[in-house]
Amino acid sequence: MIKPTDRKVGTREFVAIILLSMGIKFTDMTPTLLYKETANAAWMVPILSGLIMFVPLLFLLKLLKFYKDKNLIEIIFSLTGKYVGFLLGMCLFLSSYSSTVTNSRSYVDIISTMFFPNTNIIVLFLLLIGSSYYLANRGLNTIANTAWISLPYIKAFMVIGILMVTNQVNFNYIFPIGGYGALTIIKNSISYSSIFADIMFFSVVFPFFKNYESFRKASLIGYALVIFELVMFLTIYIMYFDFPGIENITYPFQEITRAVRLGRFITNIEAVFLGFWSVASIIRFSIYLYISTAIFAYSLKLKEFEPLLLPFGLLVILLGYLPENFIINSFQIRGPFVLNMTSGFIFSLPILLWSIHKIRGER
Amino acid sequence: MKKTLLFFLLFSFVILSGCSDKIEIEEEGFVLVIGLDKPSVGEKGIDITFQIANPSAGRAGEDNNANEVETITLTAPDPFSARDMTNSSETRNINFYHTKAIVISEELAKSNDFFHIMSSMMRERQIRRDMHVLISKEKASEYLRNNKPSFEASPHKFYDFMSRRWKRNALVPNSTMHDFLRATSADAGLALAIYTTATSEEPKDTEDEDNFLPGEINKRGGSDIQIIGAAVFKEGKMIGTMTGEEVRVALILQKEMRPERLIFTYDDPINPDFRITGKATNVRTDVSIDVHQEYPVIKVKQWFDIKVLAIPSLIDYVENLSNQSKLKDYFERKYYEHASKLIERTQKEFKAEPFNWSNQARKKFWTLTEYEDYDWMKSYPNAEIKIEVDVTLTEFGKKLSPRDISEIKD
Repeated sequence: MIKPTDRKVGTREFVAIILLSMGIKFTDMTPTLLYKETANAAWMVPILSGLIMFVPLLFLLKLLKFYKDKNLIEIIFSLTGKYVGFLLGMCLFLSSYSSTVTNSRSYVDIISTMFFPNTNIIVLFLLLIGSSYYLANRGLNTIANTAWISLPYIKAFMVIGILMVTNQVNFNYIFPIGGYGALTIIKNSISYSSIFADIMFFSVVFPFFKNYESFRKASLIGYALVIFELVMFLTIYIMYFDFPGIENITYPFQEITRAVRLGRFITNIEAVFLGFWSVASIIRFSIYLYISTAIFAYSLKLKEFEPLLLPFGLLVILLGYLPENFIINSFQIRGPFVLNMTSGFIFSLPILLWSIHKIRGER
Repeated sequence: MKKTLLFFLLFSFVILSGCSDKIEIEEEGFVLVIGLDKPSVGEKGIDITFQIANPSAGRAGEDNNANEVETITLTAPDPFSARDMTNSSETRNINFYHTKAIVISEELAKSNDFFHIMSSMMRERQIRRDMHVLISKEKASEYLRNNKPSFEASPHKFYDFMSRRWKRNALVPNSTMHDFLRATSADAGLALAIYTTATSEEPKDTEDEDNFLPGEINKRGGSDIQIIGAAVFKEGKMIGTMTGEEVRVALILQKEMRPERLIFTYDDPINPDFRITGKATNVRTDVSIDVHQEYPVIKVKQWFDIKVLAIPSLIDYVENLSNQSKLKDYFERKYYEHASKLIERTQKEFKAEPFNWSNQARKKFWTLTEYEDYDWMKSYPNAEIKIEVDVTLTEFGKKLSPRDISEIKD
């Protein structure tokens, strides 16, 4: 099924994918959710969450090293058997697909609220998912190359944005540094650790990557950079908006880009950021779509999954259109349900698999 | 062939749907300044004044008689519903993309509804957080009609240029919507807004150069407005005013502001019949706060560089070093007096501080709950405050000691 020539996605391309798919979480409502729960200390949550999710990542890497050419779903099947394997595969599919649906709706809401209020959201959805499908349909290599090509521009503009608001921020707003206290920080770090769960899903398409070494290296580098990026943006947000203020800012990133001004005359330049941000989100959702479909197809042991991309893409639009508004989508569905439910599952799965592997291996 | 046609048909759906949010620049009316007043008819709603720019005015080939700005006032529930109401007479589609400032009448600012109006405006995506907040003594609609800048044709330029002057001379707080909302929702101190008027009052008889409220400066010619001093807000409601001098002192007492070019005059220390003029730069302000006692102990130290601009008394403060150190001590004492006076006023009258000292106080707490329990606004009026001033005389201009007048009269 997988030819050696398919194994082209190298270290730098994978790092680019990680940075674009996970590293733009600070542009949606995730920061607001975190600040609501932990006040001034929200920037610590990614650090702790990152450390928590690092444990299953290590177990997963060990498994992948042992099984060499197999992807995660195949490993699950060979370790837990036909029925349990199918069940776990479907659970994985549900968690990745549900986050694709809620996240894409949330991005469509951002575009609609901040930039195109008069455009029908179905049209926005079609454009976002349509372009993602177009990209995903060309295969993982194309996604990876697109990510690598666009990465410098996207990140350069993020950095420029940050630098241009540094004269408007106040460092003291991160105090009192503990927020609502250590206990709240730890509790939320655990329940929101699925912010970093995406890193596990890449192992589903592990055989497409060059080799284990580059996969491991890229995972670790990308993971560390994403944590750093999230912490940096969360701190900038609090230093700009201050605590009780940030609670009622729906989209801090978009709001902050409106404050960016280049010198004296070039103001109102948020549209520039919209351009680069859209490219990043298209890449993000194409990889989401690709992986979700792959999990589904592998769990059903289908030979090819590319034909499924189109129906699954359309289904994202249909399901994403269901929530009445972004509050229901983000606070009722994405926050407590998708993020918190998947946290536990994604955390325990690699550890569970590894223990089965150890017990079996010793037998 | 059929396939190509089908492709173009499908593709046009995507391309054409982009048109739902397109705007035609010549159909747009860009609101440059919003004015808010209490309603002139009935009890509910607000009087909204739009100062709308005409993008095509003054362009070659266009109607030369079209005004660059048009001022329209109407009573409406809020600024957004006023947009459609404006179209009952005007052709342009009203938007707030380039709104530079919002002017609010003192009467409305002192009412309980005020914060509700301000805060709810931020829901609209077109409203930007960087617009300036001005409080006018009279009705905002009158103020906007009377504000005819002598040098700038467009209000857009007026506020842009003015804000640069404000940053330097610190006679008004350079406060924006963002600052106002942040300070109010942080609930730790006072929020300041720019205070202004376009009607001149009885000129104030004073020797000082900055101790004015708007309207009190004895000025003729130029535009009718006077922007000096600050409107003081506590918990989202206007509770008082500060003169230009008090604003300067308040901004110097803030750690972050460091005003650069303050031209000031004081009585000459040796011959009080004359004034002495200087230009001060607030190099640094250090604030350290101890919150371990029941009431905070605040230590503020300010550093100034002062350039002497004029010595009308002709006393030698330049080459005579003992006079020089006398002058230095005098400046330090004078500034100390001003600062103590303002601090006393904030503690007794306003019962909260406009100096953003809460930013230093919050560092001393580990959790937000502890900080909220300490309640900076409640504990500030009883705080013990120590002020230190350090002046460096850096320049005396391009002249050495003045010529002794007795030698000339001789």
